[in-house]
Amino acid sequence: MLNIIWNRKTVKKFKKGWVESIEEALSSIEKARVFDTTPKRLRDIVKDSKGDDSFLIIGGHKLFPFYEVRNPTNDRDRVVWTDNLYGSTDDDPLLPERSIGRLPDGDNLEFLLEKIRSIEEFLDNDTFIDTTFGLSAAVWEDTSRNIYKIISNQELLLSPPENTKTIKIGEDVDIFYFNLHGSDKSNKWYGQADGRYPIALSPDNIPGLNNAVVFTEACYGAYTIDKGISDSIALTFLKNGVQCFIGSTTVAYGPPIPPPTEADLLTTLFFEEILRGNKFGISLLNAKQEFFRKMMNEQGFLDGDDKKTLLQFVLYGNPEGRIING
Amino acid sequence: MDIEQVKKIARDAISEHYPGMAMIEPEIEIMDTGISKSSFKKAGIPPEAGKSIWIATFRKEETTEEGFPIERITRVTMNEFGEVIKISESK
Repeated sequence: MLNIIWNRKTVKKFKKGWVESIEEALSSIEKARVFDTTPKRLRDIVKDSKGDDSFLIIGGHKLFPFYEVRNPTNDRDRVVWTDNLYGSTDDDPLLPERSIGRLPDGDNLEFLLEKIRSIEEFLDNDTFIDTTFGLSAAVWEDTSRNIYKIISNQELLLSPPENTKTIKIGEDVDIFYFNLHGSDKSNKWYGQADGRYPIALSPDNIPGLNNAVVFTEACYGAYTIDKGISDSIALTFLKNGVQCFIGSTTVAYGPPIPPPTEADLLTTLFFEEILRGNKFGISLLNAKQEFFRKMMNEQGFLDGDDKKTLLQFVLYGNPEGRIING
Repeated sequence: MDIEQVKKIARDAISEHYPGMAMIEPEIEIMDTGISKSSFKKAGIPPEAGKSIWIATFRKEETTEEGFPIERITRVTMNEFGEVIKISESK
């Protein structure tokens, strides 16, 4: 069963005038339990939950903070922001045991209310995979093609030559795959080839969509802390009708060529899961657990990049939603 | 293995895909890959002891076409004998 999590006290503290509207929107939801709780007390709720329970956090980092884990690898990130711990029945955040999603707020009450009101809409309406969109940095063509062909027989676009001025995204796209560069200080994603880093995607490229799904491997692809909607491709996708967005909160990694490891491997495993008909939350949960088993089996250990991959990928949207391979 | 040997192995490993990076002085560290028993239990596999591995990290700042700086990281993971296990780069 879906469990919706929010913290009334924190909302009241940081967002004047939001509490009553959120409370009203949550009160109209019939197919989920709603908990007003703190991150610490949520752990007890998860401990008492069943294996098929899922959790949906209302609000971004300020309203219900991500759990912060010391960065296990050597890069510019001090911590890794994760929701894994909120899906764990113990104190170990590396692997969750419950499916978990979040509705970030983008510092915009109307946006958050719209997403809350759509929670049950997605429970009742399955989307079918018909049209896809894939865009990769040209340097990662081989590995991206292998991943994209799991979900699509359509053409994978490469940047360069493609860039923000040349790409056109149709309103009928059901599932997106991006393997581009990203930054926590920019609202754009970038391609790469021959020392060039063109702007591949900006918020202006994103049309109105209908219950689409996005998986991005970009560094900071799901970084939304202190971001308004137009400051973030992730938030713009959600605002424009995406029901499930999966990306990284921090610097993400992948190999230069196949076989897939790190973010490339997690993407591969996630796409395989949703094609089995699994819900988004379970798909990401299963993908993380299979990632762990696969790396232990094939590599014999998890290095810092592998651990960071498991921690950093978060799901924005209802974990109970699904997309059907039509 | 000493650090200079590890650096040479790492540079040789990335020279094909990242010739520009191979000129950079890497940061070398030894990492213990130990993981809590809880994670193994969640994944449904028996726990294994951690291993000592070498990590070489190459950092370089690049500039996007709009003039925006982005840090590129290339990393080589080696086992305790200096065999290259994996090459990774930042997205």
